[in-house]
Parts: sequence; structure tokens; C-alpha cells
Amino acid sequence: MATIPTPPTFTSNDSSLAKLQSLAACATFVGDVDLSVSGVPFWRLYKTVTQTIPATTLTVVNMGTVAVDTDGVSNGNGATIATRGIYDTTATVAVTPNATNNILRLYFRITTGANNPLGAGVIKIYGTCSKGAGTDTSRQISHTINGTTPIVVYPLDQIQVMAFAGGALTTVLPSTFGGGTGNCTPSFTGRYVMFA
Amino acid sequence: MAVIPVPPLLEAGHVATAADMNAISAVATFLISGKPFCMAQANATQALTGGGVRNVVKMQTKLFDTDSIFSGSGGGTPFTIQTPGWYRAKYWCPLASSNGDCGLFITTGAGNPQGAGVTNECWASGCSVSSTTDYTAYSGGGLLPFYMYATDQVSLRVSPNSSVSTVLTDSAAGMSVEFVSA
Repeated sequence: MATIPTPPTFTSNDSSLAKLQSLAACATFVGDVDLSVSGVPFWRLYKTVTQTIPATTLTVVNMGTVAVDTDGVSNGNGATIATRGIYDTTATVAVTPNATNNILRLYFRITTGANNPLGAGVIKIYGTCSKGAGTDTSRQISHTINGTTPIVVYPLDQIQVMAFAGGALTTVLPSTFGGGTGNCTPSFTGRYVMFA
Repeated sequence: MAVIPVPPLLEAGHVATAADMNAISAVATFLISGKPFCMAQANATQALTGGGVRNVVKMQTKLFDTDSIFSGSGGGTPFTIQTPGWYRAKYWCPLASSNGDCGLFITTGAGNPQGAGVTNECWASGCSVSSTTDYTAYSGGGLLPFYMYATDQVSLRVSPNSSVSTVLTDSAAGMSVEFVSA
């Protein structure tokens, strides 16, 4: 869990080492120019295996591989928040159409944990995208969802990418179509916006 | 309007004063919890006019607002920028099944050097529906492509082909703007 630093207040002739270190901690926290030293929560999770989204069954899109995770949020399929705040999230999921233009609906789902003042188990949904998945089975169709958490999230709250398909669809990986590297990797990113 | 804190210039030989140090602290406070940020959501369905009309999506419920960006009266959008700068915006908008398009609209205000009333659309998301029973939803966003001035407005507009209503299934429409840089 990242510690939200408190900016110090200085008085005249104040040379407190603790205050200077506190100020340095602030600079480290907000200075996201180098994620290897920054304390600001940020993650990018992605898929390395395909996944079937069954027909008419709300399914967690497993983002099980970590590219970047500065706050230890990865839980194997999504993010478990470690630091209280407001977050900005984006996810992309690519699927192979099944020729009947089934609906593909994606959204972010927050499930509150025990630390949230709303109580545990409260569901909040945001960032919804819901469109036809297309009919051209020779192409991948990528859907991207964007959003900002509509509540302050607390440690133990979970954020997951959810999918609902009108007919069974299978996610695809970058090398499936188009010669390899040109396709969109199914991924889920999160960025700390601010303390609230 | 938020005051953008200015980091002090500390030159060689200068003995940092309390004012200098507090100015640096003010920068940290601004970045951690004080930057302009606003988020709102709809709380009711809204009838939309079809045929390509760009309907402003109303956001009646203010969730966060650190800089009086949320207009409130008349339904909550557009958002009105108070502090000049670069902003990032995100949105999502569920509505009854219809092909169409959705995006963020910037309308300049009197404080913009271009003059008031200049409009631009950005971060649009189009949609082809798959059935008449499943709802449609658009999601998009990114860095607003223009420097924003005080009184500039940002709204979410949707233009369905058919006259349908927004829906509250799963989640209501939402939108956020976040100060990125002066």
C-alpha cells in the first residue's frame, strides 16, 4: 500500500530533516516520471492466454499477467486496491466475431471490500461499452472501455473488467491476426488520480 | 478557480525561507489532492432525438468537484472549466439500442482567445448495434486536444440514429475531467 504523503508546513529558520524528508516523499509520490521509484499507484495488466466468454453469462475477463504494478494490486484476474483514492482506468478486449454480430458488452466492476465506508460487497459499474462484435471472422474486433471510479475506492476494493456476450466469443491475443504485432493486446490499466 | 502553485526558484547561495519551502509544499498539496477534478453521473433516463441530432447528455449527480466545474443548473452538463490548462476527460453512455455516435464536445467561452462559441468534437465512439433487445453503450476519452481556458465548456453528446432514451441498466452515463498541466 502506498502511503499518501502529507506536505509539511515550514516556519522561519526551520531546518527540520523530517520535514525535508516529508517533502521529498511528496515529490517521490507525485513524480511519476520514473515508475521504478515513484510511489504513485499505477498498473498495466494484460492477457497472455485466450479466454472464452460464454453466451449470456457475465464473465470476469482475466487480466492475469503483470506488466507494471507499482502498488501490488494484481490479484490474478484484476486489481485489488491497496491505496485509497480515485482511479482512472482503461481496458481493451479483442475478440473474434462469430458471424452473427453478437453483442459484446464490457464494463468495469468495483466490488467494495471491508474497508470501504459503503460496506463490503457493494457493486458499482462504470465505463460501459456495448456494441455488436461484428460478423467478419477473419478480423479481430477490439472494444475499449474508459472510466473514472465513481466512488472513492479503498484497500481491498476490487476492480475487474467484465464481459457479457450475446453468443460465445473468444478473446484473441496480438499474434492471432494480421501478421503478429499489429493487434491490440487485451489489457487493463489503472492510474491514481488523487486522494479523496 | 484553483491557484496553480509556482515552485520557487532557488539559486546558489540563496537561503531558503519558510515561504520558499511552503511554496514547494503547496505544489505537493495541489498534485496530491488539490488539482481541478470533476465527475458526475446521470440519475434519470433521458429522451434523445434521433436522426443525427447531437443531444447533450445530462449529468445531474455531482460525485466529485474540486473546482466548481459542475454547472448543476439545467441538468449538470456542460462542465465549465474554471482553471486554464490541459485536461483529460473520460465518458461512458448507455442508451437503448441504436446505431449512432458519441463524443466529447468542447465549446469555447468568452475567456478563450478564439472567442466564444467555437466548437470541436473529440474522442468520439461509434456503434453498430447487434440486436434491438440489448442496450448500446459508448465509452471513450483522452487528453482534450486543446488548451482549455476559463469559461470553456465540455459536454458529452450522443447522436443516435433512432429516437431512443438513455438507460440506467448496469450504470448511468458518466463523465469526468481532470486537470493535467497548466
